[in-house]
Formats: sequence, structure tokens, C-alpha cells
Amino acid sequence: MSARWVPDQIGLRLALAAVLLLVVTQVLSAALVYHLRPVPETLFETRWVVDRTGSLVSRAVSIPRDERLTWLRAQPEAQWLRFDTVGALLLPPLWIQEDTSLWFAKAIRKAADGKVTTIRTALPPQVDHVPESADQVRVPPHHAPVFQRESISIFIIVAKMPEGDWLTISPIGIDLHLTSMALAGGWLGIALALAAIVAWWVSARIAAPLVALADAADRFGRGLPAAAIPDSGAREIKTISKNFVSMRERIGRYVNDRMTMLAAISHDLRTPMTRMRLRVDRIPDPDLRAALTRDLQALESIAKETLNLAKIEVEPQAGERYDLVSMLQSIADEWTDAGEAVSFSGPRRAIVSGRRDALRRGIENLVENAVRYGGRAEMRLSESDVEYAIDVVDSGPGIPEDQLENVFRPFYRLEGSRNRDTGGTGLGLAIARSLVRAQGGDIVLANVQPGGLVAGVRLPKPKSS
Amino acid sequence: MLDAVSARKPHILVVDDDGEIRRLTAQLLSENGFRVTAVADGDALRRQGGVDRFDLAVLDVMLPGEDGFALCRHIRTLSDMPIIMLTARADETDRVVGLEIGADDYIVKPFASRELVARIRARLRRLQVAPPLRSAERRTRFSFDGWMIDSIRRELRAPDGTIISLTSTEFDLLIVFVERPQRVLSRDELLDLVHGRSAHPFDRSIDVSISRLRKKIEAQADEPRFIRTVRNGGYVFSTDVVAEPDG
Repeated sequence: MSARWVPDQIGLRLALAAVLLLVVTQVLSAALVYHLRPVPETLFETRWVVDRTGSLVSRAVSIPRDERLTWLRAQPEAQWLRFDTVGALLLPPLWIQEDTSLWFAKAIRKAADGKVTTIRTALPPQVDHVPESADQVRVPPHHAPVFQRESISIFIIVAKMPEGDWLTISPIGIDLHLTSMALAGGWLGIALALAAIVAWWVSARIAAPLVALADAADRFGRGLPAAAIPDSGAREIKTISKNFVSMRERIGRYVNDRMTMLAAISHDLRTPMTRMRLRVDRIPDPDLRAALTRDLQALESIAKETLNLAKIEVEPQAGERYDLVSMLQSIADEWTDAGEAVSFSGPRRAIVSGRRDALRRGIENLVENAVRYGGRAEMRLSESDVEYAIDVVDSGPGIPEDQLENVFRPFYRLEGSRNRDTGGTGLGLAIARSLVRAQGGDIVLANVQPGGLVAGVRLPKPKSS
Repeated sequence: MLDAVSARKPHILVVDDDGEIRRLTAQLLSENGFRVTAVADGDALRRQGGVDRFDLAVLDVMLPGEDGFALCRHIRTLSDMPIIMLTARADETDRVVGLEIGADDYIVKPFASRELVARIRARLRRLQVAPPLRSAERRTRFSFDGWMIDSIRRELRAPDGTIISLTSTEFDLLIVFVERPQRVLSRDELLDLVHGRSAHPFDRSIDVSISRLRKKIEAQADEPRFIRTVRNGGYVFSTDVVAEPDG
């Protein structure tokens, strides 16, 4: 991806980018200046210019406004001079040096027999000879003026016509046209756009490997399938990428080992349990059989839940888009069918992204707790811009405020009403919270008045929608 | 005399690598009126001869060497008998893989003796009602009006790909409908068909389940497009359904 001439270190890359940008803007502005530079084609005798323009202006005044330009352009001078009605405002601002061109304007006004009073002129600044002030210029009456310059090549004469608009006279070849001004603006725009593109391209190239790395880290953090990290970019970024990949592999190996171990434990526990179960079913004494079956079931659920809790962290979190409303409604319906007071209220659809079975297990645990300790479960779904909130409310005694966080600890038991006699493994809340946190959400418990507990589940909305 | 009686007993094949489980299962099934052949693995099964003589197979997933899935696939190439998989893993993956390669049912270890017997009886009973379908004839995927149903994963997807959750009764009911599109089904028929599909008791009236299902799949539950009520009792799934074989 990187060309050979690109330096390796990020600092040098940034410096190169800055230099590159400077070169681009310099070249472009040079081109702009060159393009706008007036190209003198003809050298005019100053006396000729003053006499002719003066005479033309004085005669032009008496021509009707609509025909004035046509008439001027039909004059023999039109082969050297351009006549236009471009306003004085469009004169290149740098050219207007009233004191250097004042003598020029005076001379023309005189040549125009005073028929036009307002004449402005512009001459490009000349380095060789600039008079201190216009007063130094003496124009003898009825005589050809003593001109400071024998000849000129670039000039603009603007005369105010009786109707109030401006007549512009300039040598052909000095492009004062509106299009050229627009072009100048366009050039500037193009230069800026090019500079912006170069800046964007360069910084995007520097940032691209970091973006890829950030994306890979994010995916890894959320347990999604690993993304490839391109082996490119500056040396420092390559080092980070390399370290990240080896960390990812190390954690991947660890997770795999743990998964294998868990699967083995799960299997090896279930085999003797299966034997025990089959044997217990053969016990003739019904009381003993029932008691042993209960014990076995308790053992089984502790083993299952413990493994579940251990598995949440290592299970891949492949996401799928699913509808939260139908899931919560199904949970409510199934508990209702089993004779429990479980209800659901919420919008018609709520799309989330993540592991459906995991969230379902988490919510089921909360509902089970609510039914077991609080007599009923009421699920309420609401949404904000960024997340969904599922409140599972019961009508039980609640939990002492200072114990609200403790009950999430595995096997934690509250004094009093919530003990092992009510069943359950003591892992329900821990599992529920781990499951929800694994999907970027969280669960908090709160007491409500007059009596009851709310388990509030917060679940982020998918980024895409 | 004894041979004549045992010949009429359904013959169950049990494959499990754990000797004790094998012995206990064989004992359990014989006591419940089955003839049982229990072997440790696929090799032992092949040494014993073909699989034609069995009416049903109970296979453990985790076997040394050739695993239960491979054995299940092997048996499927030779026979259409019902296969029940036993697994020590409680997660979805084993169930989905098992059902996809042609197993009929799936039981998680440890299981109650009564449950195993009940599942075996249910499978054999179904065999008497309807002959087994060849794998190629099994329909496991259905689609209607953009909706997709995967009967193995038990997933329903809305036209935009979002998974819509159904209760097991609702799902079974939907499968019964999409297997018989454009056919009027009375409440009794629906009850029988849904009950035949599910292992759990069907304890709600059909009407309640249908109204719940409509809320989830119909744009307007009071003006259903898919599940229409037919006068004089009954419902019809009034949309065309495309059924695809598994795979």
C-alpha cells in the first residue's frame, strides 16, 4: 500500500503532508497570479492615448446611451482599444493609484474639452519613475502636456457618462471582462478544493490503518468475528497492530481453552448425573425417590447455571437483528399460560441487535425472580433515542437499599425472606447482568413505593438505525 | 412363544459409550415393553449387522471416534427410522445440528426415565399415523409474502430480516398453517395437529393462540391477511407458501 518514497514514521509522514500541501497551494496561487497578469501587447504613445480618448469621450457624451458602445466600437481606435461599460468597481484594486494617474486623468479631461468631468484612471505602478505628487505635473494651457511617460502599455480609463453609468477604455489584451473576474474566483475555489482534497487524502491515508485497528478492537471487544488488520501504515501504527493481533490471538487461545474445559466439565458432570437419574428412578420407595430427584435437580441446576455464568464471557457474541416486543410478549404469554401473573406493555415493534437467546435467558431470570419473591412480574418496555429500557416490576418486599448491589454477586443470599427454601441457585441475577452487559447494556435494581422491586434493563439501540 | 411376543415389540437401538448408562437405559426400555440392542459405538453397531431390524435409534452425540452426528448421518443413508439424539450439551447448537442432519428429536442429559420412554412412544406413535418422510421430502423452510420460517432453528423472520419471537405453541400453530395453505382447518383439527407436533400440553384455546399469533405477524390484527377466520368455525391460511426442503 505505501509507496517506497513515503517515510516510515508518523511524524515524518505528517511533515511530508504539510510540505506537500504547501507545494500544492503555492503552485496553484502562482498559476493564479500568472493567469490574471495583464499581458501588454501594444505600446501606446501617451500623447496619442490622451488625445484620442479625450476626443472619443467628449463625442461619446452626445451619442444616445443605447448606441454609444456600438458607435465607439465602430471607431478606427477600436482596433487597439476596448470599450466597455464595466463599472469602476471592477478595476483591479491594486492598480488604482490616484496620485500617479492624476496627471493622466487631468490630461484626458482637458482633451475632452471639459465635457466629461468625472474621469478616473488607473495605471499599473511603475517602479522606474513615480512622481512625488500630482502637483509636480504642469500642464501648459493649449499645449501638449509634458508627460511623465513617453509611452504606456497598460492603462484603464473610466469616464462617467451623463446618464450616470461608466464607460471603460482599456487596451485590447488587458482582460477586464467580468468572465475573467469570475474565472479568478473560480480559480481560487479550485485551488482551495484541490488543497482540501490533498489534505483529506493525505490525512485519510495516515489515519486509515488506525481506523481499521479501532474497528478491529471494537469488534474484538464485542466478541464479533475477528476482522483482518492491514499490515500497512506508519511504523508506530504497525507496531500497535502487531501487538494487538498477538494479544487477540493470546486471548483467543485462552478463550478456546476455557470453552473446551467447560464443555468437558459439562459433559463429565452430566454423565454421572444421567446414571444417578436413571438409578434414582428405579428406587421403589416413592418418598425417597422424590427427595433424591429433588436433590438431583438442584444439583443439576447449580451445575448448569454455574457453567452458564462461566460461559457468557467466552461465548462468541454473534449478533442478529430481532424484535424485542415479540420476545417479551412471548415470555409474558408463556408465564401466563403456566398460571403466573406476568404481563407486558410496550410499543408495537422494537428492533435490537445482539444475541437473542442470551437476552431472553437474562429477562427470564428477572421474571422468575419477580414471580418468586414479588408474586408477579410486570414488564414495561420504553425507548429513548439511544436505548431501550425494560422494567421488570414486582409487588414483593423489595431489597434493603444497601443490599441492592450485593444481590448481583453469585450465590449471595439475603438474610430473611430470600433464602434457599424459596428455590433458585443464587445465580439468576448474576447471570442476567452478565448476559445483558455482554450485549452492551446493564441492569440496575431499585425499590418502588409502596412495595416492590424494579429491575431496570438498559439495552443500546443498534447503531445502524 | 417368547420370540413371537418379542418380535412384535418395537426394537430400539441404543448407542452410548458409557457402559452404565447403556445398561440402565436398556433395562429401562425392556421394562417398558421394548426390545433393546445397546452398543458402545458405530464400529460395534456395524459388527452386529445392519440397521434395518431397528424401529428407532437413540444415539449419544459425544462418542469416541465417530461421533453421534456422523453415526446419525450414516444411519440416515440406510434407513428412515426415527432417531433421537442424546446430548450432554444444553445449548442450541447440538439441537440444530442434530435436527439438520436428520435426527427427529433431541434430549438433554440428564433426563428422567419417564421422559425418554414418553419421547420414544410419541415417535413410534407418529410412525403409525404417517409413514416417515425421506430426508429430501422433509420441508423445513417456508416463506410467505416475504416472511421466512426455519422449522429446525424455530425462527420466524419478518420481511426486513428481523427475528420475531413466538411461543412454542404459536410456532407449532404457524407450522401447521404453512404446511396446509389455503385449506380450511377447524378448531378440532388445529388442536390435534398442534398437539401432535408438540411435547408440551396445549393448554390454551386455539382462539387465544391465533389472536396472539396475529398480533405478531399481521399488519392489522383486526383485519388479518394471513390467518383468516372462516364462518361456521375454522381458520384458513390464505397466502401462498413456498416450502423448501432442508439444506
